[in-house]
Amino acid sequence: MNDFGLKRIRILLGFFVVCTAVLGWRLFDKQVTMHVAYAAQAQNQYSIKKSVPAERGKIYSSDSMLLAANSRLYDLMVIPNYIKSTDQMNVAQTLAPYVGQSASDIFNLINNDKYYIPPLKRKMTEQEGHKIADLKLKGVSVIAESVRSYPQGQLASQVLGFVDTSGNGKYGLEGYFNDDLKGVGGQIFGSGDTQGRMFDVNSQVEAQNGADLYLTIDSNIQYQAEQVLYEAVQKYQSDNGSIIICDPNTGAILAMANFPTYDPNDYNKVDDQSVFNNIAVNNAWEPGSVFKPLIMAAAIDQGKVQPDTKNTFAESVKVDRYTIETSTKKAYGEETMTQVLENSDNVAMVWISGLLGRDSMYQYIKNFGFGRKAGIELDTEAAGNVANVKNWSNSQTATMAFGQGVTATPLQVLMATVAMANGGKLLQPYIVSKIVRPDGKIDQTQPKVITQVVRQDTAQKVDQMMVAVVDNGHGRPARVTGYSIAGKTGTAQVPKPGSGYYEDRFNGSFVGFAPAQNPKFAMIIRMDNPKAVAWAEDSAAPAFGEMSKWLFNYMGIAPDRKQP
Amino acid sequence: MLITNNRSWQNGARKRTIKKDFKIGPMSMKFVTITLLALAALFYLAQSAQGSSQKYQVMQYSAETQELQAQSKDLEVQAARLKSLDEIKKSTQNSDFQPIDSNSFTGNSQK
Repeated sequence: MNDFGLKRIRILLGFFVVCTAVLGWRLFDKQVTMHVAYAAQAQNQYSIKKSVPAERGKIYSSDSMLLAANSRLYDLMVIPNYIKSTDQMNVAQTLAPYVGQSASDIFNLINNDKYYIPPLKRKMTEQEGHKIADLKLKGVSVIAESVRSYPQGQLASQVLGFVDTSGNGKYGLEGYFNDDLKGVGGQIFGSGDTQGRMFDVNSQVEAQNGADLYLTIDSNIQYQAEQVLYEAVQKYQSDNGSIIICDPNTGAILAMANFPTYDPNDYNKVDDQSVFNNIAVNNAWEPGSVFKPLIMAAAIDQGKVQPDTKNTFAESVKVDRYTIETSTKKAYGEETMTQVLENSDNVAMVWISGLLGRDSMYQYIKNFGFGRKAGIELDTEAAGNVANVKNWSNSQTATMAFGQGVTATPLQVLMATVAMANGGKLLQPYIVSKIVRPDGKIDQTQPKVITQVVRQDTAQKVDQMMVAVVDNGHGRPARVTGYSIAGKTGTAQVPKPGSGYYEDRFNGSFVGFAPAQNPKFAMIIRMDNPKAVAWAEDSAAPAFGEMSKWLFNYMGIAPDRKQP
Repeated sequence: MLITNNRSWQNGARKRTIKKDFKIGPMSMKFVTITLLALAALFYLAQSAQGSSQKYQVMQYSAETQELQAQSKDLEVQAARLKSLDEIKKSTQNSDFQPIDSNSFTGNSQK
């Protein structure tokens, strides 16, 4: 080969060497120098992170009825942009029977090229969703949505509360136990393909589901209580009403009902949000005469009077510049203390308050649990109000003896009265029997005695006095043949804003327990402003009797009296 | 008779091979090595692809399991709704049941 040929080969060789060197450097640069950057970019491309929502805990009644759970409902989504303009009317006509709107209304909603319009129908059942999905309409899809569901409808709605759109509980148990019920969400880290489908899980943080609550509420008693309350409110034309039923030996709440009520499945359709409040624990009122047995118990416990202590009382008494009268504006004359409760004599109670003394009376009122929350596991509980004894005037001391000048919730009045049923103990009311954690751990609620308010013999004496109220006094409409019932009516005046009381507005209540010697249940019924009748003995007392009769049979309580 | 251990031959001579040596030259070795590497790479790719498709299958089964669990919970809620006292009351209203107007303990067991 001549020199020129060799020179050309060398040039070509040199060219290939240069190219190889450049390629080699590029390879080194991409695969070594920029390795970290490209690896991160690749990681970013195929790494997927998915949230795993925690399942909210369920709520059961004491008889294992499912009260609150999670389910899926379906929304009907339409993407108008995916539907040809010539097909939109056909789609509207096809969907109309499923959506419950006219074809023209649907057409007006989808006759555009938007990528999103609000769901045409929300909260459909699985069957409804499948029917629409089976139509296989282009641009029409059914999306599953996890919702909180209350299978029992309105049952115990104010006790349960509801879960709002952000997944947080409001009111009732849902609000009080929101952190326990909500759980903690988890995450899955994995690899995905070009379509975003995860095909490999690299690591995950397990979701911690919420705890389940088991209540002391019996669904049958709750249902019956709501029925009785509803009928009573309708019959006596009350503004609203409450019933609470509890076990007087443990403090467990067996039923807690209010009217008006609502369906927590449709909480967002409620106009008046005051219905969300559980007035059994939230609404404090001047209890009136249902307070009298408690003051009487205090006086007996202090040895000031006995059930058969007698005195003669007029139709009124003057305290400071106020005249306090009996409710009937007539004198009852000579009465025993038992008859004082039978007749619900305000004048006699003023006399008892004088014997007891303001400091002693204040101490007993506080010991009975008034002026502070009962501590039940429900949101928005009110404490009521008991003025500091230092600020009590003579007239205030006198009126407190018959339940005016102090405010209390129905729950507080019930638990204080329960002390007469169980030998003088103030019990801690509770509505959650146990909490079952996702790891299997169970937190069981144990009955708790807060304090021994009065002696056992005092409680027994007042128990018998309250039986006399039902047998002989204003509580007669609460009687049930064959059973001894201890109770007390209360017809309380409604205070005006500022000062004074309405002349024509009263709250009627009845509190009691049965059977008197071995109580199995205690109950309070309160009805606000019944317009059809004036006195609690004509409204709350008969409702109490009706509910008691049902409870005797449901709980299998044998009669403790000879039947006629 | 030519007794040999290789493939060499001579014209006119009979040969009996009693032992053979297998030799691969450097060029052949390169080709064999490249072929083996390619086969290994192919095998790895095949297994890797099969593994990925298995993962899809596993993820699909996992999704189906979750769907079935969700359906089970939905059915539990539906069952609770059907057992609710309101539903029972509505269904009995369409039947011929007579409401209880009185209930009391039977017999004269009380002395």
